[in-house]
Amino acid sequence: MNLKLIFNFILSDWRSGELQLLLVALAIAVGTVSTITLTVDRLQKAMTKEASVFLGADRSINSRLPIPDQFVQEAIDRGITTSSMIIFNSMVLSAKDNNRSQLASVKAVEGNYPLRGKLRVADAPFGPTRETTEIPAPGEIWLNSRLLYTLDVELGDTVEVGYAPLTVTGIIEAEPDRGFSMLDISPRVLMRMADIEATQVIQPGSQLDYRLLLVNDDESVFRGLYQAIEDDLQGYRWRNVRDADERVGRALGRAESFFLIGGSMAVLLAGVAIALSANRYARRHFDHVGILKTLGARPRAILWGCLGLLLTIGLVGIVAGLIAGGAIHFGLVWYLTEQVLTTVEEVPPASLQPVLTGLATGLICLFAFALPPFLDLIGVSPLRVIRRDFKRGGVSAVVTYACAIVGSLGLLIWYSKSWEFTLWLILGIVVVTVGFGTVAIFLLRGGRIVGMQAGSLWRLAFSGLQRRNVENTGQIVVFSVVIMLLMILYLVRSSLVDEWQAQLPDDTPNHVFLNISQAQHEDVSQFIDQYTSDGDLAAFYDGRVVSVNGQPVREYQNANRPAPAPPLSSRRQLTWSVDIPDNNEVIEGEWWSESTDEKLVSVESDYARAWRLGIGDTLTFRVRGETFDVKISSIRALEWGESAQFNFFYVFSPGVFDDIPSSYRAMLYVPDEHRDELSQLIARNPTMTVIDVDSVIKQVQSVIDRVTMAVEWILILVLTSGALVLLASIQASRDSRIKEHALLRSMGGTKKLILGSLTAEFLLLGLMAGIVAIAGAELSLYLIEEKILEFDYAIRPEIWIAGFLLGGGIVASVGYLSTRKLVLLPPVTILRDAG
Amino acid sequence: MATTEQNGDAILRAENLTKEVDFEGSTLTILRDVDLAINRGEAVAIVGESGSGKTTLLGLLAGLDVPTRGRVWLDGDEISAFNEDERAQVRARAVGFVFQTFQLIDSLTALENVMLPAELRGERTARTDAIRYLERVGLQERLKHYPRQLSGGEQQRVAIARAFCSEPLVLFADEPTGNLDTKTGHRIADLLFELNQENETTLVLVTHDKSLAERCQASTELAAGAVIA
Repeated sequence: MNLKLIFNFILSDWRSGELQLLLVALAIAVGTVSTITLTVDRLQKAMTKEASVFLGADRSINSRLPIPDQFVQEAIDRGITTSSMIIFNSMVLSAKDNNRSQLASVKAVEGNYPLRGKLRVADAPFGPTRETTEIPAPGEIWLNSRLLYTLDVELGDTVEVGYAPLTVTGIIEAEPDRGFSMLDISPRVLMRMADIEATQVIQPGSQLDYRLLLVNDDESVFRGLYQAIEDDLQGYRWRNVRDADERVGRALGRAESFFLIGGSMAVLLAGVAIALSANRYARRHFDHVGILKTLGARPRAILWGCLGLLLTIGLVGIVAGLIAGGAIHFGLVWYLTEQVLTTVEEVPPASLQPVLTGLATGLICLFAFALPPFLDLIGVSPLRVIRRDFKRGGVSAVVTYACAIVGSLGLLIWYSKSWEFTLWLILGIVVVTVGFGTVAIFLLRGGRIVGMQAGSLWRLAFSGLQRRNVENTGQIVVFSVVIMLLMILYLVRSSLVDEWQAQLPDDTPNHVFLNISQAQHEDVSQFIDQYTSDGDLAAFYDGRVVSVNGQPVREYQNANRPAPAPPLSSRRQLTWSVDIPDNNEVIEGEWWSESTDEKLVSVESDYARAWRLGIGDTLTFRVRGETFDVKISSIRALEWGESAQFNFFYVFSPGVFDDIPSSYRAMLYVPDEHRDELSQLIARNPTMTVIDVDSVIKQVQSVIDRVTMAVEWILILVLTSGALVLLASIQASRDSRIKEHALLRSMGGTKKLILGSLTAEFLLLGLMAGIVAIAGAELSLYLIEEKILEFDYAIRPEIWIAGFLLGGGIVASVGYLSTRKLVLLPPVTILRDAG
Repeated sequence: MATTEQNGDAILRAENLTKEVDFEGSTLTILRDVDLAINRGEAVAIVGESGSGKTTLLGLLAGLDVPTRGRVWLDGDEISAFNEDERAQVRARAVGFVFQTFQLIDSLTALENVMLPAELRGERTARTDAIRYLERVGLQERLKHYPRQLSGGEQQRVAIARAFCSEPLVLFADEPTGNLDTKTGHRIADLLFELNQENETTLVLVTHDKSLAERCQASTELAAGAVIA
């Protein structure tokens, strides 16, 4: 068939409205996928960028060894911006005559620090803070409020770090990469790398922490750099954003899983919509092909014609989809950035990958879902012009399904880059389809019995369901799969958002109080009672194990050397407790009763396993010169870093430390309006350490808010795809329904009766689909939540009614809206058009 | 038996033509041992009651279907031995159709429908030829109308224009007036025979309408799949 003829057919099909649905389905498929991939691509970059402030960079290389010049050079060669940093503990001395000194954590940075995020500084000690990207000039130093107090110095005074005299020109309260580490509790000092030499702190054997910060908007350059230096990374730690904050890392990881599930569902739904509309198009063209063949068109010509038609539709649909996707994503990115007060310019530009994904999705959808029905046209016999029922099958059903399955597999694997995920999803859908089909048949049979006794509108609807039972079984399966996918997505989203919010409730502790002495105990307790959410001062003791079951600890340690584990002989933070600490679980032995007078200890499970400590073992501790024996009575499991609280290897029973003086600690939520009272408390108790982690918490919350919003938008996009499938499916079945109802109208059925019975029929289909979908959703959710997102699955009775009603409501409304117009046409028009 | 002499000028010839189909596990014989020969330029009617096998015979003679047994020659080619591709080529070159249900493509205009066979053959004069034939059938005012905008008689006239526009050697007409009222039916029949004579086409007319059959030079009557007269 020549090109002009193909073009003519496309044009005439377009004029007659035959091609629109297929084209729209394809455009929406490509549009949805490219919107999702483009938006996700940019949001992920933005989120990673935002999260990168936790690291102060996109990547960092950390070590106790100096960073080799080779690393820096390799990074610079790849266009990566670098900044070196050294962190060390050093005594800072006041140059005044007061002889004051204090151990501080010194951070020496280059001129371009910070690469990501901002510093928080104060203009007066313990005063209000503001953000800045400035840093001290060479020869200058910034101290934190507590250090100014302990050293009794003011802005403009000189302090000494090692041998270098430096002028105090600023008050540093927080840096973006400070993080939330309990180990990093010394007061912070910020100075320039250029002054390091003068301090002479870099000596053989000095404990220095070297860091190389790396920044670039293009993620791929980091892979290149990693590969180039991988072999030399022994002794160096390559860190990315996720290592910097566990909560952010997990939120990003799960959001990616959600995008992946959402995106895959959008692809599958789009595929179904295309298959349905291509099928409808093909069915409506059997006669045309029969005529063409009668007129001498050869099968090959029909094949070329079909391919030409498909490619043209494909091209137009894909281009339209990409343009629409691009436009919608701009809108989305704009909206999202508006909401979180970041300007669009700050969101890194999209890469080419999402556009290619959209293009490939379109082509794969076209050939896997639309081609098989088109190939069916080639097999149409010319005899069809004289015998309408005559149609030799073109391609077998096996080929059609094989194409669709291979296409879906290909798309999903390419899209998710995960075999495991793809197989689970496909297996789920196959099982669900077969299961749904069986249930649908039973439901339709049940419908007959009920229908016999129903009034005339319902009888018409039930008999409609019966007559097209094969078609309706298919339709119930399609509806249920769509409703199921949408419910799954909605519920997974709810679980994600709930869990994120649970992780950081509004009263998440934002201040850590350390080194509270016995004398300060009362003042701090009063502050807690008056100004903070409930929180307790926990007693702390510094101590270590000296022997295990009478065997000196070093000897025991040598005899039981485990896989890497913290040494048994080191100093540890100890505490006592009446109750099991929150988020701890006793997995062996028993927790003590309140009134116990035995000296007992509970040991953390990994630590106990590593050092082969068990219930009944006796440990001898030395705390502040006192030595005493305790018996292990329980082993506790706990998630380190899971919640904002202090965790301990050893927790003792009450009374063990009765005669030993302790210091106290607390993690508290101090509301913004009580910051002044907090400053006064700190000023009254200058030896106490208070770490303000509010900015870190706020940053984490901002990232999580953004991820949550992105997740909701993806949900809306996928819902749109789902609605399209419903529409395509209803359109596909509309032809036969409409013709039948036109006949009924010609025989005297009123419009009201026909419209009522059509709506009732769709309502019944929707309700049946709803029932089937709920069961499928619960099953799939179990698998997704347990296997992919690693949540604890819980059955959700509340969605049962919702799914049931939604199924009926949505399908009935879409069915009503899409058939209403046709029912209003005179029956003669419909009958004549239908031939 | 066919009423025509079997001689070397037969443009269409059938020998022992039998068509069987499988129906619910048993074999149904629709046509049994039909012999037939039709000469170039002749108009032959195939008559018989509904279900007698007329349409099946037409399908076999025109190469739309293949016989279970027997052979068919069209313009010297044994089309019963051809594959679908080869039969399509023969149809494109030598055969035209007019059907009871018109069989126009509803998304194409009258003009586009008539141009279709010539376009399928890649001919450049398709448009002028099509306009000429539409004028000939009296539809010069309706070139851009779609089938649904035309009456039954007008649709059949478009179908006739389409059939003759490709100047076929043999024109197969399957109950061409069956869907029309008597008056329109007569006009269509007149047009069909006029054009047939003008173009010296061989006409094979399937009909149960005796008066239409009588206008042909010869007729073959079928009953229960066999030739009875």
